[in-house]
Amino acid sequence: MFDPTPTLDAIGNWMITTPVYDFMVNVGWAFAAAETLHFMALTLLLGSLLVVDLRGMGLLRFIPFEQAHKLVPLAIGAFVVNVITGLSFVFSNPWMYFPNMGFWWKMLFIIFAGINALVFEILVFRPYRNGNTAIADSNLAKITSALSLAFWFTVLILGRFLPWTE
Amino acid sequence: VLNQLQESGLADWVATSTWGYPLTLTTHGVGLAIVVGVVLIVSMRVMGLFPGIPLQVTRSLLPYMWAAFVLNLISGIALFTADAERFFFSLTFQLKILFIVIGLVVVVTLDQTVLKPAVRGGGAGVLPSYAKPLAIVSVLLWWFSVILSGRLIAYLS
Repeated sequence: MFDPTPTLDAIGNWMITTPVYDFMVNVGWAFAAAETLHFMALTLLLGSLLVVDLRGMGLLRFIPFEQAHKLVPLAIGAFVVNVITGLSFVFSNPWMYFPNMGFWWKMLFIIFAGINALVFEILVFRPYRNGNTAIADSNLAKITSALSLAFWFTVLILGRFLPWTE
Repeated sequence: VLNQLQESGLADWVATSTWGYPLTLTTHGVGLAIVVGVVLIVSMRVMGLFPGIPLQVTRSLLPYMWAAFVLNLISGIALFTADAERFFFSLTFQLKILFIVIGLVVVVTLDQTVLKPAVRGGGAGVLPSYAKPLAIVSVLLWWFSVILSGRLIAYLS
């Protein structure tokens, strides 16, 4: 079976030669600041998804479907902030994250959430915008929306659990 | 009193059992995302962003916020008892509680004087002049102050 250890070792060894590593390790407030930003962006991500997905699940029906969807760019922006701050954590100590199975579970659920979001965009929102408004009330819309919240809250929970899955 | 709290069964469970602290902290994290997330969306709507979402319907998001707030009050009290003396005398903790109290007053004020009249007026009518500044204060309080002070408790004190 494919053994990722040498590749991860190489990546980790490279990470600790970068200025990002220096900054995160040597600047006293850097880690706390990145963590605070990570938390701020996660509230924005979950807050906007709460509206998009609860509406997708058929709740909050008085919010027009396509208007709830306008919060998606906000969620994507918040996610980008969390990828950047999240990467800065890994750069600061790759040897803490790479052997941590909780970290890989978290990455896996981010991928699940991404695939699920693409399914929603392509199979629900595009047909909706092309005139198939009934699809907003389909089971597919409800299931992908519920899965979105389930996946993202799992990501949040796994992230909070990382110190104990080491 | 702080000592008694620290010696309670709840404190013991949070501080020493295998699952107590991770579960309580994770619950607190889930609640935080919902409380602050909902406050951010409602505040941004009052500030005039996402005009396609009717202002009055953002009010129906608030029950989710209150449910999550109760969750965080309970998980927060549990976390507090585990190390009551350290938290009680920590400036960052005191500031966090202060920001939460002011933040709640701001949310209730926005709800009662901006969102509730919008529901009655069917979304018509002019916002009071303080609505947008108050929404900005709400974002500053919850997003910057509560999260920053909450994170700093782990680093300072």
